[in-house]
Amino acid sequence: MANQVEYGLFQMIDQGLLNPNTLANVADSGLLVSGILYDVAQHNADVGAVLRLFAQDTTDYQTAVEQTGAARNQPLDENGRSIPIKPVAPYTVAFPIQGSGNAWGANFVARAQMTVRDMARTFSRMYRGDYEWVVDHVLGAIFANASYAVQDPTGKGSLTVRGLANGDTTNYYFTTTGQTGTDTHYLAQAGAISDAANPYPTIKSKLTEHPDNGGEVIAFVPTNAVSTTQGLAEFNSAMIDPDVQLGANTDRLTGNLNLTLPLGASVKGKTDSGVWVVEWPRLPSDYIVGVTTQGPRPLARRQFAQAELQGFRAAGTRDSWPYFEEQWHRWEGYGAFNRVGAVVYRVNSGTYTVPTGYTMPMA
Amino acid sequence: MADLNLVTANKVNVGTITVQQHTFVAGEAITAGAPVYLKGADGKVYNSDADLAGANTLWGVATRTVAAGEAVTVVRRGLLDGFDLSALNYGAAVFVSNTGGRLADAAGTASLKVGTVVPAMATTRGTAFDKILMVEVNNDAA
Repeated sequence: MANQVEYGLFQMIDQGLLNPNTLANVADSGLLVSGILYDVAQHNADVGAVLRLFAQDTTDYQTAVEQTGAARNQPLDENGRSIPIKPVAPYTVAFPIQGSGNAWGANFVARAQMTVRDMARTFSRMYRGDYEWVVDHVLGAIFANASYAVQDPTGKGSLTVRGLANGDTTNYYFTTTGQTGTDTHYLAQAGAISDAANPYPTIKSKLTEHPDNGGEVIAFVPTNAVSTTQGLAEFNSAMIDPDVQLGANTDRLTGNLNLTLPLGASVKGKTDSGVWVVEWPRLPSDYIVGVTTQGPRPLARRQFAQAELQGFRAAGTRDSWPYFEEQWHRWEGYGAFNRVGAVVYRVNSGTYTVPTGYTMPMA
Repeated sequence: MADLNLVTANKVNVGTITVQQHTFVAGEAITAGAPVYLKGADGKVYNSDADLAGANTLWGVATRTVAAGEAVTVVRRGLLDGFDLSALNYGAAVFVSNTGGRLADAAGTASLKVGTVVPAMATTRGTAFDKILMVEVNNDAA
């Protein structure tokens, strides 16, 4: 009978369902396939936790982003007729698409000697590599404060991929003023985070002043900015351990973000100004990324329309005696969609620049 | 000219996309990663040596350490990993050394090009690409 609980390869080893030292070619093939499929699903869930916050899917190479515009009722008398109004002109964004992948291989001796543990470790490493590639490209697309051109591999010619609002000529609607205007969502402050230089109210206002952004405001914070954030007068620590009582006269955060976070990320607390602070060690030092939990995502992930070309999947094998290899690939790309759907705030420097290693286009 | 070492003694990793290889019998002790030539008299492979008459030709690179009389697969075109290429630039040529059975970063007395340093790009962002050897022995070196 099939397991009632699904496990990945490592969990099967831990549960004793698979002996890690058993040769892969004699182990229960059903369990191996089940374990691999579970691991792939878990891996895709890990990737999805990142994408759900930052990107929504598309198969279009380019799209027009609709947005709310400023308006006010026109004054009328008994003979009056309002002049028809039109929606604000959309802005066009384009999305790249590029291939990536990894492979495992062996000669026939090594393949025959491959154990279940060897197989689990090999696949685990491949999944990790895929996760790194996705996160690199999501962050690269978020950090890109200048548009860049890519040559589309599907024949659409040169596409201009844009980042978040960067003070260019595109107009956005502001709920605070009821007007449209240009905006920039790449900010910087020369000093460290302090009560006198607190970025979080600004991060929140930059997001919530646009009507399409809703839900909770989350600031993903690099590790080097956690302590200064926790030192803010308006910061309230999350209750990490319910068994630990904080000292007297200390505000306690009792709420719960209730959101699947990227790998390694953890809720640190919430500010009085209403910003959830989540430490994400994956971020480069000094760069805070703010998003909201509702509304169009700041990025779009472009994929091919064909299901067999979507996600990270085994793409093919090559059996060239005595060598065997299996290729896994991912084809997708990221570009800004809701250009005011995220904020990047750099601290400890008065000028925003793209962090080292994140220049787009990225291989 | 500096001889190139193996990262791990007696170990080269053969890329699964070797294009041209052949398995010979070793005419003498050969170390993994050694350039070897095919001796016309007996059809066995021996250590190439750029400054030794009779040994200053090249067929390919041995993939394992063997004693005389053992079988050894030799790669003539394909990828090999396991050499310490850290001091070489990507695209740099690798040659047969004046030291028998060794590769070097510059041509020896006889200029026998073994291949070039190419990047292996499974490294994480911000980390330099690994350096591996693309063996490309042309017919003139045989």
